[in-house]
Amino acid sequence: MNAVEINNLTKIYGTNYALQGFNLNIEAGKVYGLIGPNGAGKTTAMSIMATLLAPDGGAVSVAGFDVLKEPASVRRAIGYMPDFFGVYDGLKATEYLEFYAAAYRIPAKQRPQLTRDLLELVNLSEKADCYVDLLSRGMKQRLAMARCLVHDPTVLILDEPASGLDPRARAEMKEVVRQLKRMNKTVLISSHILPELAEMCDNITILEQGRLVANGTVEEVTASRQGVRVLKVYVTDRLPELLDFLHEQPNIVNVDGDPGWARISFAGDKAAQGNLLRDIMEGGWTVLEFAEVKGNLEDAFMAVTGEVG
Amino acid sequence: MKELNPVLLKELRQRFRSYRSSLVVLLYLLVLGGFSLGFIYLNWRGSPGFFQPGSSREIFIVLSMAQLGLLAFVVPGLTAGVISGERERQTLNVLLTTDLNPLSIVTSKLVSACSFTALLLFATLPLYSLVFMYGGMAPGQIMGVLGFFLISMFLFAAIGVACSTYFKRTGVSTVSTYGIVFFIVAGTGFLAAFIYQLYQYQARISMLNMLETPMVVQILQDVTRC
Repeated sequence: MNAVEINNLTKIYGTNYALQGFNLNIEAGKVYGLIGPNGAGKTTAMSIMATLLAPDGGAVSVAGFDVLKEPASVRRAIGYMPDFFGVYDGLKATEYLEFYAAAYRIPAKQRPQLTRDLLELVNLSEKADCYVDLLSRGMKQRLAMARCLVHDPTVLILDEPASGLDPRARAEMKEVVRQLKRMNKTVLISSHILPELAEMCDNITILEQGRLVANGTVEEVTASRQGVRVLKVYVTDRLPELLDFLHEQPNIVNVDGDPGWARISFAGDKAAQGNLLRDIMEGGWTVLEFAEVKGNLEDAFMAVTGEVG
Repeated sequence: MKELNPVLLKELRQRFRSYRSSLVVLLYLLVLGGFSLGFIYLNWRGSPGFFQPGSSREIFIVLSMAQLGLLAFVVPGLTAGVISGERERQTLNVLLTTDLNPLSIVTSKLVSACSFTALLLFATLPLYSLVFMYGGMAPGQIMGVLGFFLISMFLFAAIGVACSTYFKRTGVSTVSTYGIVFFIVAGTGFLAAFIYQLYQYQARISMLNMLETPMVVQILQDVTRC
């Protein structure tokens, strides 16, 4: 059974398509990762699922309810966490959760126990009486996660939950997501931290310029890019010239680089790879290393988004 | 018993927990009290040794004008950021995904701001004892003015919340609210004075025109002939 069904979703801002014929089915009880560069349409898609934006075309249903026809039922079925945690000054963590519990019409008698349970779930029991604005960013994110769960939703929509967190806070957030999976919640997470998504998610969806460009398990997405291999070239100098040179070569899908090395999405065979190395060296570059990178999610992401761009 | 709206409860908790609220009440009373006592002092200095009891009407007017001015200053500041602030903190989207409907969110914010301003108003009531001390004003008149303040406060607060909902940024909302409130408080006064002057001018013109009608001219000629 699908917890979320998105069919031919379109959203237009002025003349720009934020989403263009986006299709996605999310299986109940699974953790889905939504990846895409900035402006790919991730937040727009999530806002539409959360009933905060109306689509310009297509249909979206969450937990069996249409977002346009039954928004109240959709809201009861989802827990939404935006990409920025806004705080209310002068509220304690327990009061913060009790406020949202009241907003979801949870009976007053149940709220103290519910609040205690949720704080324990996100490992914040010790901070129950602390003011929310004084908590660290990681703690605030976990508190926001607890807030998403006050009404026991079946679907969780988490927009960049790990953004701006230090490694320890990210690990704690990851653990909370795993806990949600054990609770059989359907989770949709967007993130830029690709290796972590690969660890947390059952499925990965790559979105680029409002279009779905890849969807499947991490293994499937990386395997689907087998036609495109990722090569890394370390050179001593003249990297910008090398990038320009590579752009003009055959079989190159995409090129980008960091200081000292270039990453190439390469569609040629092994012989073509050898020819490319020869051409680079004949071009006068001193090559320190030239190797194929073992396929991972990040490389698939770079290859896929490069193709679309 | 029906539970208080959660947004209203949260707003009241946040507002009355903060020391700033007590500070605002203190400053409000100091300004208004200082204004009234200053007015009495200036009157007393003009005729040392006693204070004209007949001046209590003037104190009442000065106090009421100062109160209205302060309300026009304080209420927009309290209300112009209530919704746009939620939007800027990015808490509005989360609030809109709960079971609360937009109307209940807006009305809760309005009621919360009005309750604090009502506290300010009621806190100033003891200052009106200065008026009673010298007599000359009926309690009914003071209650009438209080009712006028409550309605004005509600109007200013509603304008603030409306601007805050319409404009995305608190800065724009605040400037717009002060602009509209200033027009209502001072602009309508100027407009009334202008219309009155216009009316007077037209009355004079029509009087002159009337003097030039044949019948009036005939009468005037007859009178001078006699």
